[in-house]
Amino acid sequence: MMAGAVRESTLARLEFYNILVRQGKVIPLLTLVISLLGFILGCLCLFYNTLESYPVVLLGCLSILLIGLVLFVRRREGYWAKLPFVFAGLCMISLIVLLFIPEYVDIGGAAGFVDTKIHHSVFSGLLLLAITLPTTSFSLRYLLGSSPSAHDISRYPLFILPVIFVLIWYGIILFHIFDWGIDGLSWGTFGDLKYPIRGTFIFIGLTCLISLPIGVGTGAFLSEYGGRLSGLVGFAITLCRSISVYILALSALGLVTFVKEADFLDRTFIWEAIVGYKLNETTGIKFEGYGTVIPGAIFMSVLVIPVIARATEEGFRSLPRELREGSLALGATEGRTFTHVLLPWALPNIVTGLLLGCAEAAGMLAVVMFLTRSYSNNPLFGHVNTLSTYIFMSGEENRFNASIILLLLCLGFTLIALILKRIFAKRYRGA
Amino acid sequence: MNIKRVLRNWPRTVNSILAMISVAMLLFIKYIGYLFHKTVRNWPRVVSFILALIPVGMLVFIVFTVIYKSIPAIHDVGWGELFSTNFISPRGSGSAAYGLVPAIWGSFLAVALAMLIAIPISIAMAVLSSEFSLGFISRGLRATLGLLLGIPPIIYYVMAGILIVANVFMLPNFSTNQCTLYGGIMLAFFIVPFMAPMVEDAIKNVPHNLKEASLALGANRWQTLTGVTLPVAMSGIFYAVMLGVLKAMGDVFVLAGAIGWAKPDNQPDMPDPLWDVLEINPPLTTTGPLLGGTAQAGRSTCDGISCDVAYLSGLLVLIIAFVLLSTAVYLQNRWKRRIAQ
Repeated sequence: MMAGAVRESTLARLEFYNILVRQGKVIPLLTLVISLLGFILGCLCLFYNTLESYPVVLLGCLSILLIGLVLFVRRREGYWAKLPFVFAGLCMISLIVLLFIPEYVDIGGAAGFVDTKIHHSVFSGLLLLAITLPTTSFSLRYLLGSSPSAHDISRYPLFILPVIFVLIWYGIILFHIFDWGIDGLSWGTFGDLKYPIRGTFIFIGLTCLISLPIGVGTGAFLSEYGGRLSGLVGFAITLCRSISVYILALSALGLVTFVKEADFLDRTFIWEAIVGYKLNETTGIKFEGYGTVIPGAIFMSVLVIPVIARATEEGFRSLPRELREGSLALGATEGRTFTHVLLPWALPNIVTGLLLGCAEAAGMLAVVMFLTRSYSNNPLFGHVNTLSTYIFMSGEENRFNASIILLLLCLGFTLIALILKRIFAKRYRGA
Repeated sequence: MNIKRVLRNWPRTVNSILAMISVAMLLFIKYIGYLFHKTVRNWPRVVSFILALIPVGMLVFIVFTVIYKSIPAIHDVGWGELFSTNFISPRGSGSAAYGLVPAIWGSFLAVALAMLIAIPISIAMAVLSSEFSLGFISRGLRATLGLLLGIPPIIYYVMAGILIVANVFMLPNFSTNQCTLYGGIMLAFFIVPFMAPMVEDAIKNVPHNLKEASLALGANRWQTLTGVTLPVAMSGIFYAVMLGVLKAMGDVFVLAGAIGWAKPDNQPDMPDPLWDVLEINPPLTTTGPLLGGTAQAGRSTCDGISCDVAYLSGLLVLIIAFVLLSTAVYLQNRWKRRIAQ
């Protein structure tokens, strides 16, 4: 039984190779592979100048393969027959261009811009991208024949290749953060980073504490109880979401930082704790606002509330009508329906929104930085020192190790959000 | 009715008035109790209304603060100076200039470049993960987008001056490795994870019967995509693009890393050909913090004319955001109605 299975699979593989060779699919397959490699190389060439010899080799291979495609593979109908000719020619021309181009090209001066010299690997990258996008497409066409589905599949690279481009780019960013920061990470640097990490968690915790009830309530209002007003509130929420952090910080600045004469209320301790006003010790009369983590969290919640509210709204909207009406028909009040039917159903969305908001709060720099002007290690009543302010303030040597921790924190929040959403959706919705 | 008789029987009158008042009070208490009972029974309705007022109130507060604080700038500097092409003064030591036009133009250039890159890529991502059923690739792409949304802007700020420009660009005119083109590229990658899920939602919301009708009439999937799905989803895509523009325009730190806070001394106020993307042309959102003096730590309060102009630049960003968002909502509602017909 076992031997028979192996033999069958071997036979199938042999048959596959046989078909590949006999039907002339080898050259299209190689062209496809080389084109994909060329695309990836083109993406890398846009960012690194040390890969200069590889594009030449790849373009040479590609032009030979395209000529082979023209000479040895059965001709297709219409313009598909002429395309390999055109692109083989383009490959050769770009090959010659790349061989004779100087290392730095003054493209800016040529275009009438500021004199800017660009390394020739940018040109080789752009040429590779421009050539391999169509060659991938029509090598797929040669590979799959002329069925209707082949017509569709040959268009897939138009969508897949840009996505590969973007993912490579993100990969480069993340790789370099880890590559440059990993040397600086040790228990000693954790000692430096403990106050920023604590500040970050205090900031996140306070922000969540403020914005979770408000966000859930707003989401319920938007989807359930708002009626005609929900459109207006939804517009305001979207505006909140897209408000610039800088406007937020400016308005917070106007509220929190000022110098004025101290009055009776200002002499009580409560202002220092909540808003961070402080008596100027040299004059004894003037009162200065400097901002603590609490106003920072309040203004941060303007950005986090819309995230939670939209997620909650989506959760409430996805509740089947039968469940809600069944609960009401059984005599449950609106409050009981809300706590026993609506909230459990929307819980996965609420948790997802909350964690996304946490990620946003962790990465927030502007609000914290604009509100607190000097950084101390006092967590609540003084100024707050978070990871992002640490990264912003520190030099090139120290910033990458803090960046690693911040990145892991944010990506961890989003990853946990994605996982919890699946788990909760299974538990509470049976989906 | 005899007035004398009424006066003679005054206790009766007073008693009746008192009785009426007490009945009214009883009814009122009953009504209050009814209202209270209703409120308690429907507490989510009331509580959610109160909670929904809080973010709206915060928004109103922010808008009014920015407007109130930016009025002195108009008064002191004047419209003519504010909307001149003289770049703001911090880069020069000479007379104060507060022209915001170069900053607005810088914002426009960076956002336009970012959109040029981000729109095709996010549409490609959305189509790939929703239209083509590629199994684990689609699911993995969706999860990856969700993860990439978590990358904070400070990471882009850190990577900005180092990665691309240092390797392949040589910008001999400037001391720093920054230019507008680079800001556009960075911004594009900042907003792709934000825009792509919304574009995907728009494409998913296209009614199935339209696609199926197209397929049944003999169109293949490519023709269905370009002829039916994308045009019908256009309103949602437009809305997503508008939100992306808002996010790109309001961002501070990605642009601060890639373009910089201030213009170097050797640069002209406006770029020489207007579309010169290889110059450093700081946008509105980095010029404002520079003016407010909040980019550098250690300044105790934000006051003076430059701070007022900073508030005014914030007001400009706010006005642009409001106009774009209202246009997007209006157009989306119109297109929705047209599709529903």
